[in-house]
Amino acid sequence: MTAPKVVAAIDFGTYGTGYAWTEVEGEEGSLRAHRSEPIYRDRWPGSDSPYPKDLSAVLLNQGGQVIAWGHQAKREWARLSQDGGGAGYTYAAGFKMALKADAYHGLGAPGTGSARIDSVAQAYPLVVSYLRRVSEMARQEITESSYLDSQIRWCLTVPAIWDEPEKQLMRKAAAEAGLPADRDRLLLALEPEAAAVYCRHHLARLVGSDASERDHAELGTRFLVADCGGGTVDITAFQLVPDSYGELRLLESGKVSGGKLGSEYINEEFFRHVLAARLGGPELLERLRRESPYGLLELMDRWESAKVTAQVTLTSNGPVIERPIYLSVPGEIHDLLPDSAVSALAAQPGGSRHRMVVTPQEAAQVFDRVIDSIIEEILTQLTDMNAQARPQDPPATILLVGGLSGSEYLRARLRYILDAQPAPLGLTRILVPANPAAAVLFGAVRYACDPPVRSRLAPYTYGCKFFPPFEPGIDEPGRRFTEDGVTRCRNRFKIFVAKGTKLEAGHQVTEGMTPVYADRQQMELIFYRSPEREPRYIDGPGAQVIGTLTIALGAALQLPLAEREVQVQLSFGDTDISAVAVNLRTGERLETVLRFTRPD
Amino acid sequence: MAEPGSADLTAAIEQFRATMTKSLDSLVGTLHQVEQAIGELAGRQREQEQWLTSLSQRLTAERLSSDALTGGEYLQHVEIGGRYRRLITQRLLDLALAADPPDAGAEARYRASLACALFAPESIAAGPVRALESLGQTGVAVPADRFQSVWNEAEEIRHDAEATGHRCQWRFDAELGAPPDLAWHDVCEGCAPGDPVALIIAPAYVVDDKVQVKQLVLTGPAAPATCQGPGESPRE
Repeated sequence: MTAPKVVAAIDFGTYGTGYAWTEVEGEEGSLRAHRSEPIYRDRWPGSDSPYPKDLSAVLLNQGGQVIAWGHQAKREWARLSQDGGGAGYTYAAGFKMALKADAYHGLGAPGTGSARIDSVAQAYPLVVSYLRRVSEMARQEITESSYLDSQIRWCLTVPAIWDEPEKQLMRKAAAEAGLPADRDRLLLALEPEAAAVYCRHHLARLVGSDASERDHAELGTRFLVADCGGGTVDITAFQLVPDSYGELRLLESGKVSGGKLGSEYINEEFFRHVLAARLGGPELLERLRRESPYGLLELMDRWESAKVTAQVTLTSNGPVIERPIYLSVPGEIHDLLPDSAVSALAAQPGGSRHRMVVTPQEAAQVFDRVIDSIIEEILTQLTDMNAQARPQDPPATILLVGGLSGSEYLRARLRYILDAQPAPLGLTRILVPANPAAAVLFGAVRYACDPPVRSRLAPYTYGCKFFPPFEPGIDEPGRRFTEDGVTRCRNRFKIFVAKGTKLEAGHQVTEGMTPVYADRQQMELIFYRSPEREPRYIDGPGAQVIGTLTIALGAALQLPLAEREVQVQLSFGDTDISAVAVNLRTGERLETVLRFTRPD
Repeated sequence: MAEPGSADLTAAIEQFRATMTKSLDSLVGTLHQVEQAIGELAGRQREQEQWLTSLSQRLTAERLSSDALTGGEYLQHVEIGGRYRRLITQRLLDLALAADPPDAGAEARYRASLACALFAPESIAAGPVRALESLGQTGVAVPADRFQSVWNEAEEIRHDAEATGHRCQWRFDAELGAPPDLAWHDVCEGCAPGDPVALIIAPAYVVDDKVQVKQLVLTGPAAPATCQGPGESPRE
């Protein structure tokens, strides 16, 4: 590919999705953005407030076709439900979580009234449809400046918690949605890495110091990115380590998805505990959900916008929310409330017949149910990170990004709890970049201009099944078999990369493989991963099939068996793994796609 | 001694060699010309690509300045708008409720007076002391320390907005007596959106003519206007 003229990023989040792009100059390897800030969309159909993301939600008609996206989908669904025409329509949000449901402990997506999408088969077409809509919006915006589609390099963000199969699936979905299949033209950026890239170019606020102080975001050599989004909270630990040339490289040293910790779950707590109590119990809430979903949506939107703005005062017992949160009650909700509920609203200090008051204590309880778990996850990751640190290493830094990190209460609670810990935990710095909600999106644009050289530790041992000569006294006797005069061992694990190996971007491993059976037209390689560092057999504890590679032997069939050698090269260290096979004898390049398919 | 005819053969070979050398020289010359032409064409193509790229970049710049596109520098206003929304919907309401207004109308007028004191250009120019005095003169009693606190918050918001370098305005321009335009106005709680605008409770936050936070209005029967600069008499 010639050097791109435009790079465009899509941050496809569980809760919200946005895109941004910039024109670039220079040659491959030294691309630079033409302007300091990227171009982005801040207005979305169905939403009045400018924001860099639309909801990751769709509305499907009776035929299962997507008829609306984002805020528009939510509003249209509420309108249909209110008018009694909602039967057969499905509103789905947070479906991205279903692409790796096991990472989120089997939880459904958050969102009041959202349909449960909990399988890859259900989620995949929605992901394709959503990506198509967002990429077409971005493409239209870019091509109106007379750029060609072929001049755009795309970058799609993916959670750090995803493994190769999910990344492959995302690439497939992206290609189906009209994005390039070519790896040079579609980069996958890990969300926390994109956030870290953004933070290195922007000012950030140091939590716990003078509120107006702004500091250049020096992340130091060890930092942890806590991406507190709408649907999930993902926590990833990084180290900056020198490579063999002395260049500093990003090394991912730990990651976790906190699961049920996103901002939407705070909304659910509010809905269940505060709204139910205030408006007259769960039965009435159900009635409102049926008869006035639009009004309920308005009320939840008001809470959503007010909750992160709660101001905090520090006391000897920790941070407390300073004042009540006032929420105006939409007229249509008010009309459905019994007199007793309306009178109760008005009887509250500061309340009125049209206004609900959420006391500071209630707000804190709602927050604490979710925030305490976020902080616990962060402390666990920090403790692991500090355990790997050397005595001379400076204290770690937490980089808080995502919409929920705009919450003063979250930041103050985290600072308070860290301050109560002994060193080195207590010395941890907390940084929040300007505009944390767009840190991943804007960081992904920069990432695509100049993809950082990345290293990570192999999370598993990777390899494939093979049948080497049997080793008496070492191999289990039951695995012994003889083929073509050679006594071999069944189901051995051929290690390509051992767990914990440092993988730099583009890290390649090449192994020679020969077929065992003379009459086979093709050679099937079955790839496995194992949680063990040196697994001997592919059926050992925790080993899983991750893909197969079928190579047609073609002209090599004319050769003796031992000369039908195939060189298999796996490229690791990028956001996914790719494979190429070469027949050494004939020089024929046997290309295939390594499909990461899991037994489930 | 050479064999008969060998001299002729040698001469023929030499002649053939000379012809071939000439042909090769000619071919090499042509090849050079072709290479030169390709180089020139590639150079011209590069120039054209650069020209097209700069044209596209100029087009993008024009679209940015005409508001067809949004530059990342405008993202700051999302955060500033959030703080402004908190000030007008939470803090000023909290202050108004502390004054224990007798009814919703009085509460709305109190909030409107505060918003005016914090965001009307005349009031900003006069400073917090005059603004507080002016509020007192119109019957809006605010404890000095609490007023100073919201003044500081408003000042920080205004300062951050100005520091962006964009044209930021706090607009109090809803037409009283006309129905609200819901693209520009948020209607206060308990108010009917179909009724005419009676009072501007808080100004809109507008950046380069794009609304970031809508004007908050009270609808219903006409109410006395509250936004005036210090020393001015209330508008009728």
